[in-house]
Amino acid sequence: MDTSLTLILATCAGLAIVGALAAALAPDTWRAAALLLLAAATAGALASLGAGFAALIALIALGAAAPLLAESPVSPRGLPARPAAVAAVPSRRLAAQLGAVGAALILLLFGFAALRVDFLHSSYRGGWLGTAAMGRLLLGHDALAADAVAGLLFVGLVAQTWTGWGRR
Amino acid sequence: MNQPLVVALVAGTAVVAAGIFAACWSDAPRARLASLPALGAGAAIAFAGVSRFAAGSQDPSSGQEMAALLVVASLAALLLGLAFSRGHEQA
Repeated sequence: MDTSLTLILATCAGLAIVGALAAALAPDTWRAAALLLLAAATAGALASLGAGFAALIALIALGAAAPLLAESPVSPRGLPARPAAVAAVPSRRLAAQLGAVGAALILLLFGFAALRVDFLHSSYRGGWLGTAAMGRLLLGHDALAADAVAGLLFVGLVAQTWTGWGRR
Repeated sequence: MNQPLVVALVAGTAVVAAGIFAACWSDAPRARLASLPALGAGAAIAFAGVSRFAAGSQDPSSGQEMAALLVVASLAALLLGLAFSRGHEQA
């Protein structure tokens, strides 16, 4: 490990520490930005260690924590945090319609690809992310651990949906 | 213990320590929950560093795999914590 990578690792770790501390100590409006800083810095640290796949997963998973903790749909007293919640309904409906149109476009794209596009006949080694080795580990050697984490994520999403449903 | 392994371990441990400090410092539930991603991130950095630089490492991909699983598990724990917090607020 050369000096530049050591400096990158130390800098990213320092930024991750700043993000973690700011997420707890800064005002609530800065929490999402602090968590995004934590996600980016962790991804940078993992990438500097040669763990490109883990860096990508960290960027997605830790970045997803930012909107979860930023938006507060329920105030600490249990009242809606947005007084104009009714006014927000049309924008949500528009977002849902846009999402439905996007899903239809993706379905058309996949259908076109399945019917008209042929795969390139060459050997794929997994690229610089090492996805082939990670896939062998996650889906073969350590499939039980991947299943356990997936189950935990599923339970968390179900709990989020359940409490959000009861709120409405 | 070689120098890069020490750097990686110290970096991961420092991020975990920052997460523990954040969890203990604030009284707000959301601020405490914000420490969960930091704990997962620090542990992931340490695992990736050990996997790359440990002298007896037989499988260099295992640490990267553990790092990926840890950050996803921290996100799942954050989801569960938010759900518990919201259920407690509704009760």
